[in-house]
Amino acid sequence: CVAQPARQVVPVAPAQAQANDTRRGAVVAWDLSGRIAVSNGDRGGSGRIDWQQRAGGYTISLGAPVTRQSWRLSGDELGARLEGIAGGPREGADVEELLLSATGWNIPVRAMQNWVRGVGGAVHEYGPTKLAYDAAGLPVKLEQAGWSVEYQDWYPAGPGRPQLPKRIVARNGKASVKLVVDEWGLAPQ
Amino acid sequence: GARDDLNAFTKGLKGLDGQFAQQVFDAKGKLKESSSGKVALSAPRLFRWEYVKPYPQLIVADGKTVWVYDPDLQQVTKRPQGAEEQNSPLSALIDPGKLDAQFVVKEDGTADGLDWLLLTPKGDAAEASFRSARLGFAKAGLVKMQVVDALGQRTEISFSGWKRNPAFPASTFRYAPPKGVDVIGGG
Repeated sequence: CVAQPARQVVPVAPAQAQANDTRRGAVVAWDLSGRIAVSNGDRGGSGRIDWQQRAGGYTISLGAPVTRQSWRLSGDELGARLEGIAGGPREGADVEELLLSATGWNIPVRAMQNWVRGVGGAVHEYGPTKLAYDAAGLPVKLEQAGWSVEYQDWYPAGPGRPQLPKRIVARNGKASVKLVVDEWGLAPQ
Repeated sequence: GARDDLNAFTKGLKGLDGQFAQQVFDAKGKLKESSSGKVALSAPRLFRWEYVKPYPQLIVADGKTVWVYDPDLQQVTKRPQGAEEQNSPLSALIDPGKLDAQFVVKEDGTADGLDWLLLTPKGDAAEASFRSARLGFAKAGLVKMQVVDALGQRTEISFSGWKRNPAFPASTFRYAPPKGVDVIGGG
């Protein structure tokens, strides 16, 4: 497939960037479906992802190729539950630990609730966010908690909808999460 | 019944080539995905599943390794070819003897003009990835496969254009990752 043209980081009028950030930050109830590839450098996997996010909680389902054998990760601030994997459902207070122990994958799920919209994760949990913007005031790169998140492509704004990421590549050392969003759905906020 | 259709369809069958259309419904029956592409099978365990629409994805099982290539994600996942393939209902097409070894097989009547077989994994295959599968047969052989997984998600695959024992080019069941793409061990 065609190599993505690198989006240029340029100094941009802070007001423009700020306005975009605020609009994306206001989107707290959303659905996305697409494809995700996860790797820790030597092990990983890929599949279809459907992510439903509401004010308090999320439900993420992943489907393998062909049989679409699926597993589902659901949770909120209090904890998470992973279903569909061999050995039966598992629960844990920390979703990232739960996922790592069940699959060996290092995915910053809670931070990704924000990163997938091009917004930094909560500072008290993930530390400061460093953002670099393009001429349109959209993030090209977001750095936080050791992760470098690249926004390679965006969906244009629509009626009642800000620009939203279409292609995201997050890396942290050897770990990487690549996400292609095929569809965004915004629930009433 | 469906069993006779299966036997007739798989008699002397060494390889198959055809098209598929796949729909996936969530546990509440909402359509989540529609995709289509090409499928090729060759005894004893070679397999090629190529999504064309809505976006490309290639799965090749070359007898030793299963390769999954996602061009849009620029990632290839490879894992040893093992049990999952064995207890996939599709593999039963090429090796029907395996069907009874891995599944409780029951006639499931006629519906939508097809004769149906119901497959429920048994033994260690019970850890299988799905709760049940149904195979729908018409004169043209296997026309539909339905898989319900442990979370109640239903996948429906319709097959068409079957060619029996085609002469496959050697490359059909081989895969070499292109340059610049991450090659990852399967989880």
